[in-house]
Amino acid sequence: MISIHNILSIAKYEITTLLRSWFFRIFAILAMVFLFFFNIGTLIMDNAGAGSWDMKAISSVIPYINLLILNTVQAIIAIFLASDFLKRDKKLDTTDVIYIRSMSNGEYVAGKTIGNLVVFIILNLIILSEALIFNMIAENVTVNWMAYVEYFLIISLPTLIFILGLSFFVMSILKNQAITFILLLGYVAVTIFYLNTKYYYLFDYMAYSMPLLNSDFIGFGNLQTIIIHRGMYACFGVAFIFLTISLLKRLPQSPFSNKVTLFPAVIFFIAGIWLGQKHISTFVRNQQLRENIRTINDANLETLRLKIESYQINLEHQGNKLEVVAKLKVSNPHPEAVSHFVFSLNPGLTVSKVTVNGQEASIKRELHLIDFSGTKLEPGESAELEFTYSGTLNEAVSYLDVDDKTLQKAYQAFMFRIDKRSGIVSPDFVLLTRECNWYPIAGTSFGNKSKQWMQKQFSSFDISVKTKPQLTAISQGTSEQKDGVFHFTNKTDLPQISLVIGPYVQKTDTIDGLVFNLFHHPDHDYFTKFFEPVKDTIPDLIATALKDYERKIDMYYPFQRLSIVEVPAQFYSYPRTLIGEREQIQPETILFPEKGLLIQEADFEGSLKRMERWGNRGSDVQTTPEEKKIMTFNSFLGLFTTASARPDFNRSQGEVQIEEKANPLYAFPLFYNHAYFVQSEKWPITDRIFESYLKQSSQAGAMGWMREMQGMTENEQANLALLDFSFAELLNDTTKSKIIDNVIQQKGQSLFSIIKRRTGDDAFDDFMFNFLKSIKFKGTTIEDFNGRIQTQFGVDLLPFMDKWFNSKSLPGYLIGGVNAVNVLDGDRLKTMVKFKITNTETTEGIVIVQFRLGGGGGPGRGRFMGGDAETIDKLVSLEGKQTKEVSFLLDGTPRGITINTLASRNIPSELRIQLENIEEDTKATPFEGEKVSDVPVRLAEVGEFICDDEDSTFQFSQTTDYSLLQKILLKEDQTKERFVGFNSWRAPRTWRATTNSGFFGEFIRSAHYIRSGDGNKKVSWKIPIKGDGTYEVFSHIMKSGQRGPRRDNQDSGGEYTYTVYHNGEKEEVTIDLKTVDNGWNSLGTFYFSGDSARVELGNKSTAQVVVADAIKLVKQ
Amino acid sequence: MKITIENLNKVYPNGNHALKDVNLEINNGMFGLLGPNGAGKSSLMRILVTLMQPSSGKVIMNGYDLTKDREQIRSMLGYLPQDFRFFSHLKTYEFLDYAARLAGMKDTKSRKLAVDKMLEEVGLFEARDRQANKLSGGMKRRLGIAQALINDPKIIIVDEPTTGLDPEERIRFRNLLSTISTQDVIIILSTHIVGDISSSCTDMALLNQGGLAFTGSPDQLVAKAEGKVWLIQATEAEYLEINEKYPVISNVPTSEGWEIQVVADAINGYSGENIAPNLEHAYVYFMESNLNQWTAI
Repeated sequence: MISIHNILSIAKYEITTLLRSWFFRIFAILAMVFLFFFNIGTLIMDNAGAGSWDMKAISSVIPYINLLILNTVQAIIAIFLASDFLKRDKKLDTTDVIYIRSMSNGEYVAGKTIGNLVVFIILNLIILSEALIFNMIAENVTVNWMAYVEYFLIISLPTLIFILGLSFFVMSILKNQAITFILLLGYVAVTIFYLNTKYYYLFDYMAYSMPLLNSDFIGFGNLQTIIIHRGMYACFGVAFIFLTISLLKRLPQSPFSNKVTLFPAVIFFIAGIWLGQKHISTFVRNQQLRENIRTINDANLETLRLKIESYQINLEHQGNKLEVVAKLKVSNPHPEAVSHFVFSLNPGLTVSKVTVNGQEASIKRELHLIDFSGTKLEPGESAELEFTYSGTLNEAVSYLDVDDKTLQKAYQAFMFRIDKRSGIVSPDFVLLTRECNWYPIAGTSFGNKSKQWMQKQFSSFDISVKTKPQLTAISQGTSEQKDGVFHFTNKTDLPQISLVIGPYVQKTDTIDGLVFNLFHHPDHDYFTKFFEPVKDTIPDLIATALKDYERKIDMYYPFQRLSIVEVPAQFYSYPRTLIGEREQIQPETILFPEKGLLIQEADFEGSLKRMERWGNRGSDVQTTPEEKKIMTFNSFLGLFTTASARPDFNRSQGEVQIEEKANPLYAFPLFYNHAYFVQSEKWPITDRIFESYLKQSSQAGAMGWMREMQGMTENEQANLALLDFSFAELLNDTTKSKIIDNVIQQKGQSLFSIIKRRTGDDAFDDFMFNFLKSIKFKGTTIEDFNGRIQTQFGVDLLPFMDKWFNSKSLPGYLIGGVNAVNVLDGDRLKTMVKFKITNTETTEGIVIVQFRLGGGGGPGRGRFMGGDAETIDKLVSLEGKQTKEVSFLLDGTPRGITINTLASRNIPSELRIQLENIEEDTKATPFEGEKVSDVPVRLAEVGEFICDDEDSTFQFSQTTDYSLLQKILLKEDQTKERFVGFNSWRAPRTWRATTNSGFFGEFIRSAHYIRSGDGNKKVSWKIPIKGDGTYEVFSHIMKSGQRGPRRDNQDSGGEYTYTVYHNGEKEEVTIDLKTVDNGWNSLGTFYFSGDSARVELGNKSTAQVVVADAIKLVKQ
Repeated sequence: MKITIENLNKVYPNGNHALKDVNLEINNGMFGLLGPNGAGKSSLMRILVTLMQPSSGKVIMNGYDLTKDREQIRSMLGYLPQDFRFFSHLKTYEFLDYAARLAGMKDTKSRKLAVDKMLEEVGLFEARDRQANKLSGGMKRRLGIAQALINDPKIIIVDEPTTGLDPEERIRFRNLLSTISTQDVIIILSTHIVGDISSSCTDMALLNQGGLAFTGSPDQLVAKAEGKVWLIQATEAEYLEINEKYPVISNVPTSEGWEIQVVADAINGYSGENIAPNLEHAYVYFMESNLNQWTAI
């Protein structure tokens, strides 16, 4: 018989002992103090006093994060304390008097385990109470009581059982606490830093990486996975505890009881392994299923696809199941008869009956595919198909084009992780988009070769939905509710529809004839009160924002209504290569993440507080509270009209890595992707090129600050890639997926720029407008587009496209000095900007010259201030090997000029030049236009000899600032980045190349720079000269004021010391950075002999960094 | 109450043969186990308190087999090990309560009374709230004996109990054990201090190099040394000679030289007289004489 009395006695005094141990007390106090400040910081102080939105938007995050932090540490402390009990037993002679007492080893170990557990549970309770207090004190956040219990059971408990068991066990085997501790710490480190998301979080014993966000709509969403995973660790923990019993160095009560405890140990091990296997098999099975589906899709490459004219869908939502009858009117659009065709439907949905024209038809179902082979359709013939199916979704079949690595990458936010769902069917919530294939789609889905899936079909949709009485169904079209059935009808054809069913509250308004709907969770109305003072203005703000955006992209919003539907935070979409839209954007619908989690613009309270804090410091103290709320709302609207999201910052090995990210809520797909489609069998990417062209005008230029951090923009990386690979190759290279959007954009921009150059700007814009109007809700082919272009402008695009697709050459431009003067044009003073440009390559190209006018900008300029600075764009096109002198006349005074070389060899691809102190030139003749010149831009005039840091004769001392350990740990490529950012406060310790418009260079305007030091790290220029003689030596120095708004302290002083080797002697020349000119600075005149001259520069300087660019010798 | 030990052997993994064919019968009362360090006392004790498995042999305690019925045997035991110094963070009272709980005292009320009574008996009541680790050496010993005696064990095994105690404490301790030994219990007292046994044990065994050298009452052991203890008046030079030849038990300097006590069968050539042996003499005589002939006992 197991004696509870004994177990409790041992537990009681184990608890007493542990609670008195200093180790535990210090840890507990540190944890409490740390989390105290963490909670104060994130919930109360952060975000100008509004608290971090990431923490507060969904209230379950508060206990989640608190326990996540505690758990990470307690998992380590538990190792120590657990191994301590066996060490104590070994060391303390008093243990003998306990061991001789009449109790079983099982009772003893159980008592010790419970003692350890209880102590940690006490700590967890303290930490959770602390979090709860902050949760209640913090403003604008509710308390999710259940989450406190759930996260404790999911995160802490299994972790503790497992780590205690494992520690006992390892300690029993090794019998040395230090080694046990180190070994298990190693295990912890490996699981956190290396194995974390691998094998589907299998090794994540402390639930550190597992997605555990608890949504107010659907709870965890992945509860089964969580229970299996945590159950697995609990089982292993218990198994280890039983093993510990049999390994305990004490004679058992009865001679065979050591063996008896092996039995439950084995049982629990098997249970753990079974759960682990179940955990993995789900993922492996899904992976296999995805692979099989792709294979089947590729096998149907030749199967012709029918056109679906209309859908009539009857859907009944029953708990975790859908019951659907879908009537499709299909037709054969092909010139030949079709006797074999397929439809795709989510394999989780079982088809029970299919009829063709009212007759039951036999079909073959293979995974997702519904295969018709007994039905023949003559060209143009149509038929009525009816599918009866039921079941739930298998989400594994979504995003078949996304690779496994991306698929498994954690959806991480702040410190927590969110499960990724592509579709949801649960008793109280349903979310279906075309991606999860919940209604039959003609043809196959994604295959490695098959591109059929991305060819849009526009169909007429009619859908009836029956669900629980308290739930609301939301889909496209006009909604009518009758006898508990929601019926949606559409006036226009759509490429796809979505369906959301949930406990929604609806807010509706009609603005400018457009119906706006907002569907939100009943507990998530955190905005009505906030915007109460400005609620009358809001319709105007929405109308204005919409009009502004329409003007910006030169397209009209194509739908009759716009619904924003709040959906669970777990709903996730991947950016795709081959299609431009994200699943968040559905026709006339935006699926908005739950309570705007992770969206700073949805943090209205925070935006206001931030504004108030800045406002008090800045100049706009006069802004009224109402105006501030209006700005907050405008900023929220801006979320939908901004192409890029906040970039991802990662710090690895001390270097900041930034990944540009697309904004999944960018509303552009509403305007283009769901209303238009340009199909091409040969170049499936065509539609994306159109999309990219139409989108481009709304995209902000490359982020200047990003170049400074990163060294190169993703556009520039795309250009570098295009030098080595053709567009076609890059599209198929999954390793380049990070820059593929940039490649598409660069290539698209250059393709359309070239058309435009031949047709003229305005004429093409008009053509495009009419073209789109004619294909709205229908779609067309590239051949149709080409035909129309040919008819109207005589330009045949198709032959050009082939080359454009497969070529690996890019234009490269040399750009001469930019000269700006004020001239009198008639009786008006205008600014004339002139420069010369040469395309040295054989490939034709185009550059966009953009002038920034007026006084816009300056400090405090941001999205709240509305409107961008006024800009004027001009195009300059260059044939291969062509040179042009271009001159522009501007009415206003330009502040700067940006020459965007698009897809080219130039780095930086955008040259930004400030135009300051423009003076009047009375002699100059006003001229606007371009002249072809025979004389290309020369970097060096006759008698000038230059060595740039890109030249092979430029050398620098190769030193490494990596320790041996770093060398071993750093991945090879991390040290190989060709260009690094310019960062004067964290400058590299070795000479590294960085680029900037202000540096000297041919295509690549780069310089090498280094942190100042003792002068031992040197660069040397070897400048080829012709003939002995006297030369004046110049160094190219970019004045850092040119670096943009941020002033580098390089301006505040410092000096460079050059060593000039001339005629067997050497001389040191010091240049004071305070007095240098931007550009070439003379180092003096020297006599040189031989065929080259040498100049050196060391890193000794009182400035923070030393920059080495180019040296020029001019023969006297 | 009876303990029967038959052919008990203990061989450690390193080959050390700690107990060699020990046969012993222990009855009610106080039993003394005497022997030099390393004689196998502790091994025997640890086997008796179920901390260690014998290599072979059989021990029956009150009808229970030591290797099979540990549950019953453990519930009869009270044990005070030789070293009893280090405690985890527990107070005196708590440690005793812990022992009392594990000794089977389930009822909170009666356990509390018993613990308080025991603390009074060993004179630790005042120190009940002090950290056990911070007690003086003597107090720790007393706590040790208290935990061994809690819940009236039938078999009490104490290993070197008086080490580190001052004389007064030692006497009090012996008396406490003597009082208990009058009840239906067995107390096994292992020691290398002869005085502990002579003053309290009714029965004893002498252990040397893993084997039993003697079993019987202390008086029987003393009788064995009758006529073998000599008191010699010796000069300085003689003293040095005698010290070489015989085991000297005591030496007292006198005006002429030394008055020394030696244990020997005979003292050839020295002037000395036989004196009445005590247990200490008998013990030394036993250890010094040819043990081989005695091991047969």
